[in-house]
Amino acid sequence: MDLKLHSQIRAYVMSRLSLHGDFTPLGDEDALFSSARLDSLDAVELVIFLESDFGIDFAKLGFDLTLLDSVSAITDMVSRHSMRDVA
Amino acid sequence: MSAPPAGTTQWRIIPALDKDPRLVALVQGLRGRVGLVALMAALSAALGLFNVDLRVAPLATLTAYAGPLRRYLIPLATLLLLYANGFWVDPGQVRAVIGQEGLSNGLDAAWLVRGALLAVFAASSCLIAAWPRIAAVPFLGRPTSLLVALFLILVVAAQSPIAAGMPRAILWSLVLAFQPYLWFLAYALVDRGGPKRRPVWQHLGIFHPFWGSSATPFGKGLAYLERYDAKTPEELAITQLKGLKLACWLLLLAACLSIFNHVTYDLLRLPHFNQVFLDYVGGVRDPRYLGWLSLVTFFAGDVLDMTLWGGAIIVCARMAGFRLLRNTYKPLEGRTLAEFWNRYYFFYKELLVDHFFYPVFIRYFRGHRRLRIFFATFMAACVGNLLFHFIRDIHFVAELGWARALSGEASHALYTFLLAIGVGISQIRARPRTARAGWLRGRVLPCLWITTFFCVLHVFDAPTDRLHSIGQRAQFLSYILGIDAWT
Repeated sequence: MDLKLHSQIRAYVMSRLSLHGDFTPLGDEDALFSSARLDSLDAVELVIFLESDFGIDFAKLGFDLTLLDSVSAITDMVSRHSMRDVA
Repeated sequence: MSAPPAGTTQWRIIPALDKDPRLVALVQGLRGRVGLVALMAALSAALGLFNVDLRVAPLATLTAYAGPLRRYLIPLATLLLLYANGFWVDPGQVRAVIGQEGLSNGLDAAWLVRGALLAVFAASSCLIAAWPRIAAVPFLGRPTSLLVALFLILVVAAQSPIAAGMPRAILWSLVLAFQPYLWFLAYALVDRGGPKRRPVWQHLGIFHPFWGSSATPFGKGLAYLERYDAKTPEELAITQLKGLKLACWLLLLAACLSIFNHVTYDLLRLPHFNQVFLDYVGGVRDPRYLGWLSLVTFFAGDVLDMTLWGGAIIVCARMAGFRLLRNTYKPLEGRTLAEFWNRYYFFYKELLVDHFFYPVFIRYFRGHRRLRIFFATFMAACVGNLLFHFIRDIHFVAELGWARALSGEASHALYTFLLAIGVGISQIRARPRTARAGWLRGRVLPCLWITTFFCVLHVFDAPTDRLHSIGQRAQFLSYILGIDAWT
């Protein structure tokens, strides 16, 4: 796993959680959307973040929230589909 | 809906049964399971006294213990419930079309409906099976667009003059048999396009699943249900205890709603909103404050009703082993219109988000953040919302013809337009983070604003009213607002 990418994504997710007043520990595999810790507006912000910072093109990939449901899942998705050098 | 910050304790009316390790262990054993089924039967009977239907809950609890047979029991239970509910098709509507065409003597509506249902399920099966190939064809790969287009083509064909007589009766029976399953099929196609392939019968087995639904699927499609399926005996126990806890909460709310209705309508004799509106249309001017009171009492009753109706479905789903989120969850704690809507009718909002918001959001105005969010929100809350209700009430086209059916949508179209503008603006504005905003600014003022917005908007929220015009509703609103020059 790319540690820099992982820490970038983790930091972003933590910042979204903190906006909800959610400061409980977050495991890499912990569900984000299916556990309702993040909501659909967070998904929108996450999409914009992934598009702008990693060049992910959801219009080509299709949108599937299951691909974004944990820090690990997001990291994995970005490392497979990013159009930019994330290292 | 996030968890409370660590280290805080919350006082609860209903104890956190799902967090008690002894209880969690108990309901994994035979005695605990028997007790759970008995408790659900008792709660189902108690809630039945308040007209909250939880009769499926004990059966749902039992299906969760069926092990590998469960994947067969769920479609079977769904099929039985579909049969009991007439497969969600009103034969009276088909009979009306047969009558319009003068075929009442030669054509049996019940047989026509059966044939149409068979055709719809056969076509759905073929579509699901062939979806990976169909999705690769340009312009056909978007399930929502394709299904809505197919549905509307069918309606146009059914209403065209060349279809008069028997073809019109057959086409309308197909439309009316297709309508209840359209959004279930849409979720099935989305899932079929995903990485995991599941048998077609499993997709069909959750078209109006036995734990309950409306035209809106509660639990979306198979992929969503698999994600929320309790995977271990401990998870199942926790899920079912959450279901039990929710059922207890519903009993309390049902009693509150009953008291609320008794005090409001029996003791204080306040009129219902529809009565005040009909009085106004009939030339009787009730005092303005009664108009406002009727709107506020409608709003309060509606939120409680929605909580009970959706809550009963979620209880049954949880007892069946699916950790579904609550449909209505503390709506008045929403700080924005978007947040309220999310908390008020979660699965309907999810339907609009999944089938209208995200497909638009990932494709259009990608370089303009605010416009992009606003446009996608508008397409979901206005266009998708309006289309959903138009499809749900498609029988009006057969009964009244295109012109009257469409003009009758005007008031609801204004409702969805204003709703979309409100929700869209609340989406693109910086989100107020009210944990530090204090009780007045963080709770009271947003709640007042949301209540006022939805009360005013409710004047136009009449998707099935074809008797009163948008002008009459606007005049009524201007009257209760005190803009006398209009009245």
